[in-house]
Order: sequence, then C-alpha cells, then structure tokens
Amino acid sequence: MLIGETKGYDSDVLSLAKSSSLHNGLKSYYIVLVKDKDGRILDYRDGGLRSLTGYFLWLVANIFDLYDYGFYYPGINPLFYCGCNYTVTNGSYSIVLGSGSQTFSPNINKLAAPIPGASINPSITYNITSSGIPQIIFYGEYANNSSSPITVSEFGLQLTTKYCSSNITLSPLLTYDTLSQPVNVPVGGSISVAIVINLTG
Amino acid sequence: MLLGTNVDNYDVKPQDTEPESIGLQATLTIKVVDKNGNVKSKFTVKSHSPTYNFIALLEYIVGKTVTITAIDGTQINTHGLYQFFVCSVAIAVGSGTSSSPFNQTNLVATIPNGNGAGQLVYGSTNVSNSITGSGNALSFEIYNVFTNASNTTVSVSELGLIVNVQFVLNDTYEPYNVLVWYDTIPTINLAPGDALTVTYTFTINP
Repeated sequence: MLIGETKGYDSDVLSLAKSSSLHNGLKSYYIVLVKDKDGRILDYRDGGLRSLTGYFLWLVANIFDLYDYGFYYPGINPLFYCGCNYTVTNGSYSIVLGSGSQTFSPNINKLAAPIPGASINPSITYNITSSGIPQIIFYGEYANNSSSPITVSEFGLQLTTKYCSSNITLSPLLTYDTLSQPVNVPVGGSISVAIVINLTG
Repeated sequence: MLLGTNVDNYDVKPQDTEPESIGLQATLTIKVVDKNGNVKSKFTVKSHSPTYNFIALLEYIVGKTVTITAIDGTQINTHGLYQFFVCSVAIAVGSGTSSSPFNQTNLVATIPNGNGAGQLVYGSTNVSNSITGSGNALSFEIYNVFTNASNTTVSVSELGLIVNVQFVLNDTYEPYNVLVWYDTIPTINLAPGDALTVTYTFTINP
C-alpha cells in the first residue's frame, strides 16, 4: 500500500495479523491500527487477548449440539431449540468498540461504555500458523465519519442472533478486551481491528 | 514500524501487553481398561484441530454462504439455505492417520461399530451437564467408550467429532454427518475385552 492510498485497510490489518510477532506463539491476540483521513498510520497496537468469555464456549457447545444431551449454560438459551428451527439469516458477528473499561469476567456480556454506532461488520477467515495452530480471524474497519474524534479503549466480538426464530434477540459477547492506553480516531480517520483466536492452544 | 508511513515497509513490533489468553484449548484424555476393569493406560494430550467444517459452521450460523463437506463426500453449499440444526454429536475412532487434520472431512479409516474382527462396540455419547471450572477457566467435556468385543486386537490411531447436521432443502430436512474435529494419537492396541474411553475437554482461559 502506498502512502495516502485510500483503500485496502482491511487487508492491511489482516496482513498484520498474520505477520505479527505473536503469530507463532500459543496465544490469541489482537491488532489495532488507526489511520488518518489520508490513510497514514497514526497508531498501532497488538497484544494478547485477555480472554474469551464463557459465551464463546457456549457457542462451541451449540456447534456440538450438547443441549440435546442435557447440557445447560446458565443465563442464555441454546441456539438450536424449539424444534430446531434456527433461522441462520438472522445472525451477525460484529466487533464493537467502546470508550470505557471494566474488569474481565467470563460472564461479561457488554462493553462498559459502547460508542454509539461504532461497530465493525467483520470479515472472517482462518489461518494455520507455521506451528500448525488453527486460527480464526475476525477483522474489519470502522471509519469515523462523525464530526468529532472518538476514543477507543475497549472492544469485543459480539454475536447477534435470534433465539428459536423468535423475536428474542441473543447478543452474547464472545471476547472482551481493553487497550493499555486508549487510541484516538480522528474525524475522517479509521480504526481497523483484527481478533485472532487460536482454536487449539 | 514508524507511524505515519507505509505499513508494508517496516517491521511491526508489539507495543501493548504480552499475550494473556491461549484462546480455546482442547485436550484428549485416553483411558484403556481391560476386561476386568483394571486400568492399562491413561494419558492426556493436546487435541490438535478443528476442521474447516467447524469454521464453516461458525460462519453459517450468521448466514454466511459456505461449503460444508459431509463424511460421505457430499458438498453442501449453503447459499439460499436459511435453516439448519445440529441433531447429535458422536466421537468416532479410526486406524488411519492424516498430516493435514484441518482439511479432513472424514476419518482416514473409520473403525466400524460392531463386535466382529476389526470392529469396536460404540457406546453412547456423553457430555457435561454444564460448564465447569472456576475463575476465568471454564470447560465442558464430551466422552464415549469403545469396547473391543471381538477376539482380535484392534488398533486406534485417529479420532474425530462428527455432528449430524440437518439442512432445510425445499421444506425437507436433509441430514448429513459432518466431521468438525480431528486428531491423530499414538497408536493404541486394544486387546479383546479392552475398553477405550475417549474424553474431549474444551476449555477457555486455562
């Protein structure tokens, strides 16, 4: 990418995710990249994901259909229930951005201070590291088209879906992280985030 | 990496904290007992791989179009399919090996369910009743017992988790068995009467 080029941000953060020095470790990690309106890099962060929430495990349990064997996860319904009429088109993943912080717990289910409208509809890809570790990567960009800068200090991966094809919305937070120092996204600038989850540590 | 410059031209160095979480951890516990219930061996190893189908199901849950390959080789493109559900999960065992577990769509050499030579009697799938653990570390288990009821030794060297997925095609439920997790293990030789217990444990934040 050339200086000032105005496209390719998503692939940048994905490339960084795959080339990070954290890539061949045993850890899950994130990449945060902030650019100005001309595409110049203003800030870059990477680090280990503090934690997956219990809802990530809940999601895996759904894929394995554990609920038909008497499994129960407190506080949230299974995806496949009510005669299994799960309508897949109701769902989405999003990387949500916030300006607060809170102590992590596995039951955390929302950001401390979500920034209204600051949400990324991520692309999803997978990767196998040279160490043979399979990873799933959620990545994308949020452009600050508002009239004022935003400060991002927390982010998470959120699943939004319907329960039993009904009007009951489930929106569990699958990961939650805070930055050691907030990043500022100027007007017209952008923030790209990649969340890299090792699927077998 | 210098700020305000081209991202491709500079090494990227971590600025933030050291990694904290390994993500999702899966382990396999293998236990073999003889016909009298005496433990012959027991060990735990890291489980190595979800398959591409697992990733595809994570994407399909939110409506992405993906292609899932069933164990019989059938390829299911989910474009336009708006409903599916998972009906059951089973641990399968085999006698083959694969060097590319992520791309596996079936075991290399599945051991049939039965009491004849080269077969094992498959028990019922069992799972944890709930998430267990303390602090930030949470887990659940899936386990099954395989018994050698034949008169010959049976060797096990690969394992997998297979889910039965049903897609709604033209208002008809179409079932497919799909491999979502695959592992190879050191070969275990089960003598007549031996019982093999396989336990998959999935943990976050161990």
